Amino acid sequence: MLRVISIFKRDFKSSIRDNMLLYMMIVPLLLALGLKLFIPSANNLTVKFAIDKSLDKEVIETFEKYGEVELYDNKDKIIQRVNKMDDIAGITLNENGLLQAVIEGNEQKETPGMAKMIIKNINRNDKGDLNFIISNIGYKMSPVASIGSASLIIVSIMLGGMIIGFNIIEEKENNTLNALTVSPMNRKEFICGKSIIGIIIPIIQSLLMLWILDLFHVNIFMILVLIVSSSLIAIVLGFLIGVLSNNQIAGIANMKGLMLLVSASILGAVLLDSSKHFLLYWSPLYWSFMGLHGAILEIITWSKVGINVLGTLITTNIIFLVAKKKIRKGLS
Amino acid sequence: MIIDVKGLYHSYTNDDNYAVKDVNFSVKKGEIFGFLGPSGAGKSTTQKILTGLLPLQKGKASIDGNNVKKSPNRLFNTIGVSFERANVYKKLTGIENLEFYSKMFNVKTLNPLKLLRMVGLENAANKRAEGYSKGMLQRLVFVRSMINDPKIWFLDEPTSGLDPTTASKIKEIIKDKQRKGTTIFLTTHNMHIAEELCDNIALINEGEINLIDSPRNLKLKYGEKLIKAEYKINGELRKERFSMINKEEIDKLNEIIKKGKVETLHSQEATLEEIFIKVTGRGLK
Ligand SMILES: Nc1ncnc2c1ncn2[C@@H]1O[C@H](COP(=O)(O)OP(=O)(O)OP(=O)(O)O)[C@@H](O)[C@H]1O
Ligand SMILES: [Mg+2]
Repeated sequence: MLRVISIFKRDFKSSIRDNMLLYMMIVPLLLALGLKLFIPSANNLTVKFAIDKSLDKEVIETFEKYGEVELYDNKDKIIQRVNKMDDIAGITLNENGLLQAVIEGNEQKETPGMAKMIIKNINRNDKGDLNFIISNIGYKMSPVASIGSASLIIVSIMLGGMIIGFNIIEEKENNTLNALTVSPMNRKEFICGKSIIGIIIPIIQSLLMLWILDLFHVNIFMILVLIVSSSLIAIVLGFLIGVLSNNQIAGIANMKGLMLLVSASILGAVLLDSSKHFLLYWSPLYWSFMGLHGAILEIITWSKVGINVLGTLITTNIIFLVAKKKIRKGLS
Repeated sequence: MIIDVKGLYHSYTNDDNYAVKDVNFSVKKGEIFGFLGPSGAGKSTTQKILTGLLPLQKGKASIDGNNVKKSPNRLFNTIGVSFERANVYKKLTGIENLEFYSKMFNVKTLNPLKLLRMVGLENAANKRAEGYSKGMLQRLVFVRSMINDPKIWFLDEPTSGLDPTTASKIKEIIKDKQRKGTTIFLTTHNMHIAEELCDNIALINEGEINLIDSPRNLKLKYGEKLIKAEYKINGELRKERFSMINKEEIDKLNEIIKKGKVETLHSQEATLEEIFIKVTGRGLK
């Protein structure tokens, strides 16, 4: 165990002293800062509701789940509020005692749409599990923010793997692997030690990125589970690039090819209609992305996270089985 | 026998093109055993097979009773290996390289700074290895190989490329280790190193060992005694070497001495290189 930690510490020390690897550790954070500039502030995006105080507590709580709620004494006050400049939907009861939305008519379509959808759901089943509806709306955050954040986490995971790859290339280039081979260290310790960096770095980076992007309200534990499971594919690919590349230049070329696959998985998940998503089921990163995206939007349940994690692990395992021989040969 | 090698063959191309052929030798506990041979003779190949860096393809080899084909990892706690090409982490300092390597062992290791001091690297201890010269790197690899105070020590060209002062420091360290009981296997193409350090020498050429013996015996058996004479003939100074086992040459020297023209006379031993040439048909360069 001590040896495993020593190997990790050495890799880390050596990586931060290498300009390229140091850059790879910082770049996701810079991208997160850049993304933050693009994302309109959260308030502008939240759907707002002006609600009659006398309504059921449960109804009010339901609306609170989807947006900002302001409470008013009566219908007149609500209408007054709705007539103001910004987008807000009023919620009151009509003559028949049913929920109705009061709108000005010039709102962006999200506000009335959301209000109607929620009302429809409350009417349909009293204690509705709204997960299904929510997952199709995701209004709380702009797509730039949610897709951007999830993609950045994936990038950081992949870069973690690449750092492993470049450290292996370094061992090969300098022949230091030979020195380790003639020490009591065994192959398992070597592989574990080298892998740690590929888990630790994405975790630290992702936490920092979520903080930069004001996303600390999401379920961090869920995100961590997704990161750890997804980092396995990055580690496998990192080792593969390490053994396949004889020097940094070759490593960079291979890394570019890999990033193309990563982008394809994310773009596919975003652009393809969900009926065509099966085309991406082979890619561990597709599963990771879907999980992370859902977790960032807070529209995913643990059971769905489980499915995504399982998808990642199964596809990773298949890729690992294919790559195993090459990696073993390359390390001996 | 602490190292035992029988019928060792190795081909990098997996065919009949052998880098080492039918190599047999054994090393007694506590001795310094040298592989002397020119570049490409198969010295490093043999060392790599013994240390497990190359697979054992054909033949038998054991170290301290362990078959090298399946020697347990913990065996390396008692083995030290120095490489001909310096292999260290360039982004780490000298001392960090040693500290990291020492963490790989289960046994007590030597103090890194003390080791660096032994080879005059104390001032470079906190300098990254990427800034080391070739000789400094070689010294670093040398001391790294002794960090676990090995019982069996493999040294591949320990002094090649070093200046004479540093080389003699290294030689002293090697002798000192031997006095403390370490068994040493070293390769070299330098006859002086072989002669000065080794208890036994294997003369190796083109993958084959031609002869194994102590330097003294090699000289007694194969080194013809020579006399180097400076003499005047027709007022002109000449230098010539005469073999003392060749009748004609002895007669010729006698002739010169009788005529009283000799200026200086020196007896001279054959060098190991001359013996090497005699045995293998080629030089060490
Ligand atoms: N990795 C390799 N692949 C193919 N052939 C090799 C390899 N390493 C060495 N050889 C060949 O094996 C033979 C023996 O090489 P080896 O390195 O053992 O020689 P050496 O005696 O150590 O020489 P030197 O004094 O130059 O270090 C040489 O013909 C060499 O070309
Ligand atoms: Mg060699």
